[in-house]
Amino acid sequence: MESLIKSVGENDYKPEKYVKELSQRCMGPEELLQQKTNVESLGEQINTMLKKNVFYNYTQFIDTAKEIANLEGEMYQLSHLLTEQASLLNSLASSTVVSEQISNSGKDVNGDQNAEVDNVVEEKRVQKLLNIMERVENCNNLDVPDRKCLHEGDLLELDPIENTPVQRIHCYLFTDICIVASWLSSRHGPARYRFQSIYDLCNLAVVNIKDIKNAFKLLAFPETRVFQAPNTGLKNDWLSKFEVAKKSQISVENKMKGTTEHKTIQRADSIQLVHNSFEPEIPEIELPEWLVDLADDLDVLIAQRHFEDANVLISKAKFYLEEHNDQIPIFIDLEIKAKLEDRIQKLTLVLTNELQVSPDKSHKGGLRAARRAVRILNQLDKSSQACDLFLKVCSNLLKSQLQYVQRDGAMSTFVKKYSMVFFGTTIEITHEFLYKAFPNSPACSSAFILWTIQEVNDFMVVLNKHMFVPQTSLSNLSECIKVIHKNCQELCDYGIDLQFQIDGQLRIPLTKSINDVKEKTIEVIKMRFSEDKWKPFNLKTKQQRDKLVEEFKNYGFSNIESYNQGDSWIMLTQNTITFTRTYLLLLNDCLVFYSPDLVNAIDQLLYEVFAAHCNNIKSSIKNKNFVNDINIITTNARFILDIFLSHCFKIYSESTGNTNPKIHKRLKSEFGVIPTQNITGYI
Amino acid sequence: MKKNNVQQPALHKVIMVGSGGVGKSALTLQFMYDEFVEDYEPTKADSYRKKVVLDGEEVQIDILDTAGQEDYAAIRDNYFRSGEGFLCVFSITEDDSFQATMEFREQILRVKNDDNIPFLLVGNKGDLTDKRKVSLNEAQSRAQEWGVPYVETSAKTRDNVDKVFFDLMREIRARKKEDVKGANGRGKEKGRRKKLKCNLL
Ligand SMILES: Nc1nc2c(ncn2[C@@H]2O[C@H](COP(=O)(O)OP(=O)(O)OP(=O)(O)O)[C@@H](O)[C@H]2O)c(=O)[nH]1
Ligand SMILES: [Mg+2]
Repeated sequence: MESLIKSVGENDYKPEKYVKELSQRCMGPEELLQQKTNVESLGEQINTMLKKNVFYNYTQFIDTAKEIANLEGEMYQLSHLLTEQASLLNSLASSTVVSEQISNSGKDVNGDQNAEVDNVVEEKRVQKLLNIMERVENCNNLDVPDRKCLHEGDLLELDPIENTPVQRIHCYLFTDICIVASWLSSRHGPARYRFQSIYDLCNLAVVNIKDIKNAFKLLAFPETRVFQAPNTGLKNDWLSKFEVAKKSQISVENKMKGTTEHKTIQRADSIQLVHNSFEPEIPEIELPEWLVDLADDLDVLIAQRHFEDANVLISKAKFYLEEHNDQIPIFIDLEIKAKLEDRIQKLTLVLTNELQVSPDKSHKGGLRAARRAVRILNQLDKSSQACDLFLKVCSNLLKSQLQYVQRDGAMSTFVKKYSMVFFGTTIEITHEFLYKAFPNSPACSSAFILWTIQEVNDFMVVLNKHMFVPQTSLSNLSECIKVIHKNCQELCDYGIDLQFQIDGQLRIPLTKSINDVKEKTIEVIKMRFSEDKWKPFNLKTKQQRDKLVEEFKNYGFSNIESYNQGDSWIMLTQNTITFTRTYLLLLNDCLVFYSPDLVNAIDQLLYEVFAAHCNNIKSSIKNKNFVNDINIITTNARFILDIFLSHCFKIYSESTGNTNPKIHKRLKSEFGVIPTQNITGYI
Repeated sequence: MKKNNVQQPALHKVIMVGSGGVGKSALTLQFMYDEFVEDYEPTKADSYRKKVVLDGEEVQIDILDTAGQEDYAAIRDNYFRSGEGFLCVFSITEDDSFQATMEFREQILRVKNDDNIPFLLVGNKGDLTDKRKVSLNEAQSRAQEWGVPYVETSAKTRDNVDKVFFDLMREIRARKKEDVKGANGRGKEKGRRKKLKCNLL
């Protein structure tokens, strides 16, 4: 035998040659027959080995698929995190580097800084100003567009003549002004300082005092104020902050002067003018008419809601500025860019408002209505903002669609409808999102995947609440879950696989349900045996019995007729018939849920219920009251253990692909021998 | 504390102006601490104060050493406003720095709105005779045109360093006295300012 397995396994194994050798060696037909059975059993062995291998590969495949699904989710999450990090860093960069922030508004027309970041920065800016206004008593309104707090700190004011300490003050440096506040002696409320003076940075000069330690001067003609910082580092901070602020202020001022000098674009200008007679003459440059009217035209287009046209005009202007970069004087270029950027912001704002979810807005046709705004935002490089808003629209749409599903009526009807609406709408959204709104955008796609995962989790929470109530049967559950799986499969065709999420959400409540059903069924079995008199089942009429025979034939028990007795009797007890039906039903339900996560619970159920029945048969055999009924008990036991058990595990194997289920083997070895033993004992 | 009755000495505010690297800081440090710094470290805006005896009277000089570097040009106005007298420095070894004094003068007159503002034209680096690019004549005639004194200095050898500061303080002191007198008859000053405007327009 061993040598046979070995030689078959060899590479150069030739069946003809082997058989020839074998027949030459064998003496007489008996030996040949013996060899034949050997080969046959070997074939069977190899067959089971192959099956085992297939099953092993299958489970490995499932495990791997699960891991991959997990990994995929994590990758999406990672991608999303990275996008968020990037925008956070962007906002950090723009909030710390003052000069860059200021030049952003002008030069960075094509910058890909998304508006979301801008919003965050803007919010922080305003918040900071409000905080300061709260802290400084009698402070004017500080919230002026583009004003930002750059630096603040405690300083000691010195007398400018005598250098003696005068008072403790708190100083704030903004992009355009500087505020000096004195300390309040008694604190009430949030205020800590009292407003003292405000200086326009334009009229301020800062001087490092070399011969007084850590001191510097503010020259605000005709006033001079001397301040002393707590240490050299802090003084240098103040000096450099002032320098940066002054320099960027001058660049802003120059930009504005540029505007006034250039008459052709003057009329569209809304920026406050600063006139300076010492400005050198600047030669006039002929700009195309449309570029001169750009800001006005954009305003009109935006107001009339011709967003597409506005966008076209914006790209045209961007392109023109790019093309003629070196021909347009820098200050005009900056000026146009600043205005262009301003209008882009305006357009973005209008469009994002368009996408804003509000209760009074109808969500009917929400996606198609959003499509327009999203498309333009994408073209304006505001994808990530558009994506967020769009997903909110989607959430809202989904929510409102699900609201219409009636919650009264049968649980399974509700679940089916709810699932249909959820997946139907999600498919619609997926189609819109991945193919229409944000094609070719990995960052947005990963945001979308996360969104679907979030939504399907919420969806499952609602469904679980409805499905898993004490009175729900496994059949009911399996029916519902079948529908959910089917709907989920349809979404899968769009590349979004949520099965993993759904199964994950189902695992815990389903395990619990399976265990509950197990306990209940075992309870019922016990009860039935307590009432069982071990009598053949009398169906009263032939028709009734024929009906039963027909039913069992349909289950696949072809020789059920052999149990017939007389016209209306059958040798199986009513208990056996009922158990067979119950167990088959359980088995079919369980196979619907069958998944690696639930294997243990399902196998445990199938095993324990079957074992409970068999144990009861066992005790009936031992029971003295049934000594005379031993024949019928044996008949029924044989049906259950020989015919029914095999039948069940044929179904199980076919459905699960596990050709050698452990529970089958276990049941066979534990109970397969009882009847024969006892029969020999009693007969 | 504040009603301290000790008479404070008069404070004269002097501003050093001129292109980068001509020696404004070197002159200031030489005057303040009697030392010469070889390394060139561009200034932003430094101030110093010192008590000195001017013609037997104790006074305080406040020196504001400004940046000569071109990129600070735009913010000079605010510094100039606080000055009572100006040392307009160029280097005799660099013609550009001499030409630049015109702009400084113009800016000062505009900011102070006063063509009699105490002002000295200072030709520094006088020790580098072999590298001279600006002739004494040229410089003197420009000073004459402006109606201001011209002095050549060397921050390195300390030549004329005290002289330029003291001469300027004297002019400032004289102007202050004049202003006190003129406070009664404002007309004079107004006339002066008008004249300046005519010049410019
Ligand atoms: N030989 C010589 N060198 C001088 C003299 N004065 C200044 N220097 C040198 O010239 C260089 C520049 O001098 P600074 O005094 O720093 O110039 P500054 O005018 O203050 O320049 P900014 O601060 O940039 O406006 C330094 O290396 C000095 O050593 C001088 O009188 N003679
Ligand atoms: Mg210097």
